[in-house]
Amino acid sequence: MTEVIGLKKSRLRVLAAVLIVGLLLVLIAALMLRHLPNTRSVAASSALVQFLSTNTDHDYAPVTPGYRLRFPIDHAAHPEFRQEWWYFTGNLTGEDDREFGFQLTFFRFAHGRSEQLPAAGWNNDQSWMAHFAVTDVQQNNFFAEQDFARGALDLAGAVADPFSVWVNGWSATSMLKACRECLNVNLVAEADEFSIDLELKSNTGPVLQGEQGFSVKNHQSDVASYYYSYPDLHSTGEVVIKGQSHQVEGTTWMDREWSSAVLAKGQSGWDWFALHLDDGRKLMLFQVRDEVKRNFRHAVLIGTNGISKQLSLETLEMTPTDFWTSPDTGNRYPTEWSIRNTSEDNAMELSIKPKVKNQELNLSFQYYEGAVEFEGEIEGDRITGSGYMELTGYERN
Amino acid sequence: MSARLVVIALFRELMTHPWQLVLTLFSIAAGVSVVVGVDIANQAALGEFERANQTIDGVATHRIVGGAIGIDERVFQQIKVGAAIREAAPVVTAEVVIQGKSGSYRLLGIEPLSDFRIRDLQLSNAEGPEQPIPAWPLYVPQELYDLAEKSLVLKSGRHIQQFNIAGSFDSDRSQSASLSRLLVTDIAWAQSFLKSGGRLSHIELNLPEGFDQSSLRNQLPDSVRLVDIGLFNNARSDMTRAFRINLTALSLLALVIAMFLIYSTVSFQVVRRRHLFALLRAAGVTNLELVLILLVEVTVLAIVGTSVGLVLGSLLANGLSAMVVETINALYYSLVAPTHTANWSSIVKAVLLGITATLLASALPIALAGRTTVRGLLLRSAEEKSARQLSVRALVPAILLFVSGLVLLIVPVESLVIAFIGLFMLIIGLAALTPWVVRRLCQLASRFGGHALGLIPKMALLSVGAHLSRTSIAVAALSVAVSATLGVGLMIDSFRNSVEDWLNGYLRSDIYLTSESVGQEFLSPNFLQQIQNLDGVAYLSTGRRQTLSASNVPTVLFTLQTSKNGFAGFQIKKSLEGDLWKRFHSQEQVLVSEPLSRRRDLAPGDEITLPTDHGEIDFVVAAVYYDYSSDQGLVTMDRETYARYFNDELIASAAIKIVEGAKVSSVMETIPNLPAAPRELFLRSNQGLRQASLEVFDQTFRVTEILRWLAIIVAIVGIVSALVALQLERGREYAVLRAVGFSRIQLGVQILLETGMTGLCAGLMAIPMGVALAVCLIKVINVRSFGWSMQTVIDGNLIVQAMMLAIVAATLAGLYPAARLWRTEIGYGLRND
Repeated sequence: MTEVIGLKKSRLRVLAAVLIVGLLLVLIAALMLRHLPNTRSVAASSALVQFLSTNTDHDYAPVTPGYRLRFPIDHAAHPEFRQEWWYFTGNLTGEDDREFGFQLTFFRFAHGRSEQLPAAGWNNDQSWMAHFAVTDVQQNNFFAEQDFARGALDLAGAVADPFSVWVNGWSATSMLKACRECLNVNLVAEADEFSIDLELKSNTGPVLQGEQGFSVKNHQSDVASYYYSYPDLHSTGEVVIKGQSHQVEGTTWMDREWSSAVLAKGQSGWDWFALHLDDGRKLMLFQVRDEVKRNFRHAVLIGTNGISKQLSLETLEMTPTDFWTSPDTGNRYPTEWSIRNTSEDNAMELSIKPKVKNQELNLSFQYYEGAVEFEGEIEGDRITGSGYMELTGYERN
Repeated sequence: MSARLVVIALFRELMTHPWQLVLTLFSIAAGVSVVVGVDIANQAALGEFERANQTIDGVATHRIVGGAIGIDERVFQQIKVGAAIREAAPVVTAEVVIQGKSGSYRLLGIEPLSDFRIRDLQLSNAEGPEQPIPAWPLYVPQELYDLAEKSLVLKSGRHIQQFNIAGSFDSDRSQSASLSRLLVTDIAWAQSFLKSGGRLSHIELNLPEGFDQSSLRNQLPDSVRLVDIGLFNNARSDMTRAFRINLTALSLLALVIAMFLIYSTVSFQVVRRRHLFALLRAAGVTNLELVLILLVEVTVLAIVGTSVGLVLGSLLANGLSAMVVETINALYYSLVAPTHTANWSSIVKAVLLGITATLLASALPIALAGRTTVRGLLLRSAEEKSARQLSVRALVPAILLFVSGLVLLIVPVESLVIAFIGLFMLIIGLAALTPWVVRRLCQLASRFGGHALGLIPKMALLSVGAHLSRTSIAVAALSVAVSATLGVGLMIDSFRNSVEDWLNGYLRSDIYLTSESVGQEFLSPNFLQQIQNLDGVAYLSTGRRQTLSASNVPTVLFTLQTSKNGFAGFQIKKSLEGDLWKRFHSQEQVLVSEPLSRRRDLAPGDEITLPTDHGEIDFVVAAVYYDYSSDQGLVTMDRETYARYFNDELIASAAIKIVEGAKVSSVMETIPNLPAAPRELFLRSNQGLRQASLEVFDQTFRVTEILRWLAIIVAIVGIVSALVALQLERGREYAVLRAVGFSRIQLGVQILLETGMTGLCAGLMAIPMGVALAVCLIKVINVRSFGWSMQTVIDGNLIVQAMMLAIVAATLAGLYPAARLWRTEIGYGLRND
């Protein structure tokens, strides 16, 4: 009898073991379940950045002194150079004195094209990028978007006469055949939450920066670009933010630059200012920061007649007075500046600060490009004004 | 008497027969596992379809598509620059194979500067971000990348190219198996590889809600169309809906069979413990208490059984998923079998089903246990009496169920689910009739044949009828299972017959050739001319199948150039009056296949709108014809008509009629060696094509076969265990019979005869049920699922097989008790009750 019971007990144990194992397996199966993560991030993928920075060993055209800029031909793209940009920044005022800033930039990059395919269609060695930003001063808001295109199929490009530069649906287009020196363009850009449609008219001809447009970026003068500006484009049109339209008027600064190198060894970035003085004069100054040597500086004061004058660099001081750390990227930017020129000629003392603190473009590149206002003295006269400030090379890593 | 003692008493009693417990658990687990397995497999296939779409379509909401050779790439410029749509990406894509690797891959040629707006492929470069990308770059899934090969040779149609592995893309995040079959390259290289310079496969768009689509349409050329990807994918996923519902229904059939078994085992346990119940009742336990305790017991069994079923089911699902995906691959679209299977909804569904089914199936025996008096419980005869009463009382509901099932099946609605509900009611109704029929059969047999049969068979016959309380439900379960195999078997057989007949009439040429294996390679006009000029070639028909995205629903268009004789191969179901060949050939009218006519409700004389290169055009349907090649259906158009509306001269397949007397084999040998022959060519003789078509047919029914056998296994285990239990319980009876002089052989024969007879009854019941099931499947379910009508063929062999199955299964059940009887001493048998 005990034997029989023993048999039954062992059967029971087997049964219990089977059940327990079964339950455990169910538990494991349940734990194995995972939920699908949300797959899409809007940030540009690494392949994209990659695409924009390929083939550094390719031969590009050198920037040399003595080249005579030609208009309107040089408005068009120079694909033999490594990079190029058409840079529009402006301060605008709405009907109710509401202030806006905007930036619309078209970048072109050349990179090697494969020789194994015919140079047609998508096998194109030009990539284009556009950055578009609007600052809403009253609402303390800043919007920025980017777009890209391959230089194939006329998705992007720049032609001279009539002048037009475009990246997909964003464009700066002149309807008229260009007169030799003047510039009339229509800027159109539309992003999800904001858009602009502006008519720009130049009051003066182009200002050639550096030596007749040959602009050096370091002390050895071996890094340079071709550089000209339209510092005073009278601007009218419309800014739309979140469906709300604003009729605006203001002044836009256009920079044109192309080269095959941006920074020399040891240089880490630049701080650039384009300022509209309320007496009608314009001041452009920049410094290329150097980790070892002296920063390289350049400054030019442009009169109401469009005639420019370089400032003495020995006596120019550019000093950050306040910093702002981006909550998005952690980058720390010197957003307030003191500019001093101690020479007797064009003595000045300006303090510059941004109209809105956060004007960082956190796009495929991170940099600060923002509307600023300033006050101070030039040659004893009290002066105010507004402009744009660009700070690059402050990425944290 | 304390509740604890009652529970302990019941539990002890239960544990004296642990194998019965195991059997109940098995029944529950088996039923649940089949349901879980099929549900998980279905969900996995559907989930993989969605994940693959999500990964490969990205956030695209719409697609701009063109005709046969894609769209002009300048359309992309119009989209991006002209219409200023930012979220748009061009795609050049093709199905490719990798030399030396099995299976096909999807090559996606993208333009990274626009593609990131649609897809997040996360390409990463092998050489680091600053390094130049090699020529013919290829980004491969991680698994492929890990093989550390430097280059891969891709083939698509006649195109062959060595690509250099440039990097990988992150396939980890989005768990789609289809991503493991994705290859990515730059659009320029893809075009160059596929020799499709200037053309795109399509453009993907992410249009915001409320976007003015009509204005975009107006900006696009007539030859391209804007297609809603969501609707398009829904239509694609709907294609497999009928297939999935069919599988679910089969799995539910397994659950129904399992419920019969649960009922059978639970009632057996109730019956077996009648002495204990009577004792408990005598000791003061109320009926209600008894019922509650039994309910708790059954619930515990249900939970344990369901848990085991879940585990078994997820194991089963692994095999089933692969098969389901394989079938979807063969019939509908390319999908990769997912590795990841379980999901909460399947588990919750299965748990609910398992517990509900167990409780439902146990309700009656438990209620009966609770209703009987102490005296009644102690009487075996009372129990048989109540079983008899029950079998009679079940007659009316059974017939009602049967009739309403029939009504539901006949009601002319298109719902597949209603048809299945009707079918289940029909089956359960017939099954409920089984006990009564079995009793009647045994009575009749013993009354009319009793004397002729002799004593032992007559005893066996009477015994079957007498022990119905124990066996009837197992018999019913066996009937259902056998009828299910018979019904499904007859259906597949009829189906196969119809397909064979159709192929015989349809395939009128002698040699068939196509270049469409992977990718889109076409037969050149030159090549076709060379074939035409061959000795022995009488006539050449050419064809091309393509999918048009007509109003967001994919429509397959078959373009055909054939002779009047070739055209006669069409088996017309209904047509407009007059000469059909003339209508088709010269009046720009089209033919639609039977499934399409059902899906779109098209009759001869109706119009069907097709997107052509000249915009949307309405074509008159001249006839509806039988076709088993696609359950989505197709539109057949004359090549000349096609040429007027489509700018496409591509030919994908050809059929050759040989001159009488010429040798098929010699022509077949010559063709691949013609100067203009494509690199890869698939040639099949009439016979070979017929064979291959039937192979595909058979393959698509593999899952069905598996499920059919699972149901049978569940039922066999059920009948064996029920009969074994019954026979073992009768040890004392046999001992008494031995004591009065029956020999071991006589009793062994009686046991085998008895169980065999039970099987015979089940088999006899299963025949009308199976035939009814087959007719329903053929006339209702298949027509609603796939739109195919077919001839019902009743194959006597299958009926005999089904009978044999029932008898053999039941006879097997008698072997163990008979053998045990052989070994048992009379004295032990008498003592040990």
